[in-house]
Amino acid sequence: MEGSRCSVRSLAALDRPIGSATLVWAGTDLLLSNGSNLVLLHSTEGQTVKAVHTFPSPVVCLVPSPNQQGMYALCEHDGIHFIPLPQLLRSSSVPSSEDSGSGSVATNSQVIADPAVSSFVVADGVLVTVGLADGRWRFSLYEIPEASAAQHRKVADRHIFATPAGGGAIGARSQSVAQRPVLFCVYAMCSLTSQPPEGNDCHMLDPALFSLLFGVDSSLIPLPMFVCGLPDGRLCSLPALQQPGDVGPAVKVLHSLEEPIVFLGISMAGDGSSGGLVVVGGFGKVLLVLAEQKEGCKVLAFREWGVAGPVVTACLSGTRLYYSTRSDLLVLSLGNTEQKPTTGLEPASSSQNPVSLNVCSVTALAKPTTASTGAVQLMATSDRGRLLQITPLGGSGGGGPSRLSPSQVGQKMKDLLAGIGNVAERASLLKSSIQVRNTALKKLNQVFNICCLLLPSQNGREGHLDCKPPISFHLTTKWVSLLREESLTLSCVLENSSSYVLECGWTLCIQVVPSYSSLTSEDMATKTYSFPLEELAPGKTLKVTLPLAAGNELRFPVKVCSSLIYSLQSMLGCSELECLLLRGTPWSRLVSDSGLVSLALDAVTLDWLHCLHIDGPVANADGFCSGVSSSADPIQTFLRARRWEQWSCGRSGPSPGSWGVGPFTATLRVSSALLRAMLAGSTLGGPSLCASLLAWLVSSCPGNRSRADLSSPVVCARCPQGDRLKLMAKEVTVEEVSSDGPLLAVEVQLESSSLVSLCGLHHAVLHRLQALLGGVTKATGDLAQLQGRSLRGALERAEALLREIWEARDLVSLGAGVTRRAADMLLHVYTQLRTQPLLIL
Amino acid sequence: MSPSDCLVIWTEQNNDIVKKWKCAERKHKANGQDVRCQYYNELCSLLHIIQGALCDAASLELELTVLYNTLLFSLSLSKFCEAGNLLTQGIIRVLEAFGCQPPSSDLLVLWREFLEKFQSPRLLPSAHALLCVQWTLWLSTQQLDSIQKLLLPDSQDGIMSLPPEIENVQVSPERNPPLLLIMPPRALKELAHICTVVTQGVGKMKEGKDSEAVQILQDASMLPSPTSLLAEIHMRTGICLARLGRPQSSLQCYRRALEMGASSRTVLYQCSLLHRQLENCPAEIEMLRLLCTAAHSPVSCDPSSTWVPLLTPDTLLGDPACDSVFAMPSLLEMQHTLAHRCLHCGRFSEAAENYLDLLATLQCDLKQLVNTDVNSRLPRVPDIYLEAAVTLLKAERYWDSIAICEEVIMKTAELIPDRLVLEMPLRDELDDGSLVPFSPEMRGLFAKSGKAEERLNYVLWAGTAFLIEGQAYGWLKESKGEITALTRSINLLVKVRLKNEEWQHRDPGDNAASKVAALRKLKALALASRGVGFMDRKQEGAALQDFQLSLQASPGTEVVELWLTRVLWNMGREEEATTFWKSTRRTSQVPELVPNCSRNAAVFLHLQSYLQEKMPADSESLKKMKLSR
Repeated sequence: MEGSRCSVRSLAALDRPIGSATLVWAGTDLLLSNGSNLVLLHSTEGQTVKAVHTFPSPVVCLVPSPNQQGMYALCEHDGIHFIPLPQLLRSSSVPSSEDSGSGSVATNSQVIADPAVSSFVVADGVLVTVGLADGRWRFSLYEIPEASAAQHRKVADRHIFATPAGGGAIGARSQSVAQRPVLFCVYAMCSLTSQPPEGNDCHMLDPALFSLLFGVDSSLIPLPMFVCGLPDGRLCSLPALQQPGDVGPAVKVLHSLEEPIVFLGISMAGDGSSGGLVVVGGFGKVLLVLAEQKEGCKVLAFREWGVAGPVVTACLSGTRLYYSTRSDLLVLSLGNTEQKPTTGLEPASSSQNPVSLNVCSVTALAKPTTASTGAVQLMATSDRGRLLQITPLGGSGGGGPSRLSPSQVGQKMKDLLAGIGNVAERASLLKSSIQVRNTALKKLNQVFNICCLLLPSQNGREGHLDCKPPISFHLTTKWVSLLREESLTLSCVLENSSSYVLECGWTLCIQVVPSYSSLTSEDMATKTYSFPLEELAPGKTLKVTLPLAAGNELRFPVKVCSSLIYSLQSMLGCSELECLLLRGTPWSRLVSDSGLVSLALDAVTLDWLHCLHIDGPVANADGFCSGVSSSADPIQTFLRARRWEQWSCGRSGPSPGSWGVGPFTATLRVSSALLRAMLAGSTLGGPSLCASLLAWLVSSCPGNRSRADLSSPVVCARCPQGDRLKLMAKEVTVEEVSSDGPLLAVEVQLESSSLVSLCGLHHAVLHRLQALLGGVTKATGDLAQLQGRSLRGALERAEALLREIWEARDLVSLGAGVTRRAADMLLHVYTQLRTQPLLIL
Repeated sequence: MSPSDCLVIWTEQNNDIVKKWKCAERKHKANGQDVRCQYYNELCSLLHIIQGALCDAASLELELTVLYNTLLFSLSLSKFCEAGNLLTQGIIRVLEAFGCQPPSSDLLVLWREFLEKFQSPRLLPSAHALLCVQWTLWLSTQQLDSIQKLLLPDSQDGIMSLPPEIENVQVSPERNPPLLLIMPPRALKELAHICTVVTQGVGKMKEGKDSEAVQILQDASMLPSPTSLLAEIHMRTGICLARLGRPQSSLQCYRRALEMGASSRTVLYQCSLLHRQLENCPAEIEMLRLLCTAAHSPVSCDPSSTWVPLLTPDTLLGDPACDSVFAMPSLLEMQHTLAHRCLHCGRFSEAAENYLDLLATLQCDLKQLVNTDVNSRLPRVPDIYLEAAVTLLKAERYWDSIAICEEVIMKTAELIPDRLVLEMPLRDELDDGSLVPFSPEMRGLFAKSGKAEERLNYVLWAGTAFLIEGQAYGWLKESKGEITALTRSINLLVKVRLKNEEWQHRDPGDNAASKVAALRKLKALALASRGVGFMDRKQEGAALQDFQLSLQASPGTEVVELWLTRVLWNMGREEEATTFWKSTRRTSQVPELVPNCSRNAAVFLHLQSYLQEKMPADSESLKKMKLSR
């Protein structure tokens, strides 16, 4: 064993240690415990003891808090205390008197009360303890609260069974070395987040090694991984996130050193870049775990050395491991490991022999520091209680890592050059675009004014019903009879009552969107009509008429959306446009698909009520409307209706006769009080509630302008296919719903010989009522009077129907298509739903 | 001191303690266990003093009252055993004082005797008060049958209707000075009653008799009860109804429970499960979103701010946390479910935000991670990253997507060997489901990284990450980056060799086989994507080769066949294109590209949609193709 010289300075003489000594850095100061109840804060600059703290029982472990505001101390058979250390923050240039800040620790400083804890570590707002309890090693994770001095809350517990330590060689020899577990936390280098908190640079592990040791899952999470070396020689990891795929214990055993672990650390590898995990056993086994390139990928590699034990304490500086047997302090170089065979404890080659520093009786080592000259300084305590500063001579300072390899420099230069090129390109592009922008800005101003006018009506349309929008759009439906073919047309009026001119470039866009999706796409596709505006001066109107569909091809409901559109392309010249399209920037998409200013004007849903021929009110409510409208040929109408019926029946499967012949009926019930409140707002408040409801419903039928004064509670109408329809309204009283007694309600009954027409009409009426209902603020107080029992009954009925639907659905999904039975079932549910309406309140 | 003086003093002492307690209760200072313990000790010592004297008719009422007050505190402190002893001894003592021998040690017999003896209107209220305590005590110690036997000897159907003498607990007549009680016996009776019914309902729930449980719980909701308990009743009713297949009623119950202020997280979670069952995706997402928000907001559990009554339903019913009904998934799992459902519904920008939130939790919230238990259904972390990357891709946040892929690549690409040979496990090893590494030296000391299966995972993860990155570059129109990334992906994927071809015929439910299937699909996707990239660069020859290889890896994918036809057409080989297209139409009944069994079905599905979205809509050749069908 070669010798080496080093300089040793004794900084302070303290009491002779009673138990195991502890020495840790806290900023530029040292925290020192010699196994007694005392903890000393020693300033290395002033070379004085700044504070002494007395704990209730011997201190076995010390950790400065991550924010450097205090320290955690583990007291034997007691728990963990936290004491704030204002001295750490204060500049230590002024030597303070020996007594300052000293004193016994208050009892309420205890943050974790657990006598079993034998070691702990602090990282990332979590404190992890380990202790032996009931034959198991218990790892507890505590959350560190905002106020560090408050009680820490336990978050989770993990366990691993302790192996009997008495057996074998360990038991025989273990008296000579420490019996406490060693906890350590490591981070994987991760590019998504910034570096981990300061002061943890020595805990960064090569990502490949991290993945191999702890799994890819953990390496993707930039949180610390806790590693524990147990006195029985097992090296465990404590993953923060337990993966569902992992069966087995929550604590994973990575390796067994077969002798008590006294030190864990991360070394720099030979080239100074990637680190390896170093494990030192109490009897002199040193293990270095590395990630090595093999067969094109990284695999784990193990290097083992055997040194003369027992190892009391150790520390790492770069690739050098300093360790102390009681009789000597030695240094072992862990670099240049290529030629080393993997296993066995045969004598190491000459370059890897431990070198003695000739310092005896070192019991604790703090993390080495590197002085400005590059020399390594070790702080140590001796078993006589001296605090020593040791500076090894002659050795390089542990290989300060060269920052970048040549290939990395080359890469960096390439990146920089590319960056410069990008900037130049961008500058020239910006220049030309400024010119384009100026011309476009003028046009944009005009567009912007219009946008501002229409913006209030874009989202909250309901709130502005009272005031007329500056640019408004109305539409009415009209039947046009041409060549004996009736067709429905929409006449639309665009009125510009604003003070701006709608210039050339604006387009009025009317979109007819069918709401059905079940039909084939060809006949029911969305149709868009656009009318480019020439120039619409203030106060002018534009009238357009467009065909909706021929009478028997109508499918309702249909949504008609109108919008004003301005294409941004018209602001740009052709060359600029091309330029933008080519460059593949997000702009290109703006110009090509969505480079439009689109201002919604109005959206109207056209339903069956929009296309009914009203035959007028009838006096007697009993007879089914029999008058034939003069406008259509009755035979033609009949034939058309039959054809429709056959078509629709042929589609659904069963023969026409199977569903029974009409008239089919459907009913709706609305509370009278609610209806009155709703209709009070509109202008149709007629003499009778029923009549006014009907009048309101049919007010949008084509050609009904003249007959708006309906006063009868029955209306007969004809639908485009020629089927007869009848709407009846009457007032009824409903029992059982409210606890105040019977409730007045209006019942709207719809009747038709054709099921299809009835469906459409019911849908339309229901939607109208729902829309109307949305405008009325509900008096929720009334709901309290509802009787729960009737509601429950209604719910149960609904659920029974739901179950039927599910059954039908199951039938359909089992069979090839809609079978007869399923169709019957669905029709039954449908009629049930229509004829037993819920009361709308 | 004469005995009557003593009585006056003891009465005053009792009243002092009760007044002090009421005062503390009003000032919200009576919540701590130590405070209650102090009162308990005071009352205990008073009781001991009273019991030191001989028991006679004059002191009987006082003694029973003090006993009642003491027992209330012992119940509140969950000292059930002590309370039981005190009560039994008290009764025996009183019975003995009246000269009757206690009939037996059986509590029920004792109580019958006691109630029979004390029928005088002066003592009956005290006796009934003690009976209520006994009831509560039995309830807390889960002795429902004792309750049944004593209180309802002849009733068959539960404890819904009480016999009239218990229903109307007597109020003690006025006396001077009055004897104060900590809590009126009527309130105690009501609490015990509702708790007994709820316990029955919970018992039925645990036995799986849900319809009976619903009946009991619905009846229970009619009884007077504290709101928190009522909310719990509604919630439990909802759970039962949901199990009975009545989702709408169940939702109604949950709504009522929420109105009552139930522990909203549990209810929200149950609602979300119900909505998933009803396939109501938007509502489910909304519920999950609320859940995540609630989980983020800190729980206000300051004990001093809220008033806790002396006896709460919790003390009688036991801790609800032990009940599996209240089990909740961890925050991470909820966040993942939320994000995944959003992705599933095609709400990409929302899903992207949720995935970023999830990643943020993974990145910096150690506490949440620790709280996630092993039984959670959270996928592996790289899978989460890849799902997030795909979501960001669909949400058109290409650079973010690339950044996440880079992270996965950085962590996995280094660990993939030049060649990974997988051998089919022997028949008798099939149950294991894991792959055996070809070369035995792969088995390292660290079992996980040494496993070939984990290495196959690395390949899948890195390959998918490169594929996503390539597609992102494709959308960014960075053709060079696209081709590079996709080529890397393909190079990684072809490193895996299967030693025997039997893989094809394995059961798809098998874990290892599904991974091998996923590998093949991934290869097909990567090749097809690169083909699209070559098409953009007008390199039809290379594209043709890629599409052909893709179809070879996974035959029958319609969109790839379309692309292949298109390439042929563009290259001027119309005849060939038509023939190929027709030949593919004849054998169109091949399984879809996306393997359903894979956990990453969503990822694959969205990656495949790239091929469709990249297809030019106005392709002349395709129109002609369609016509020629």
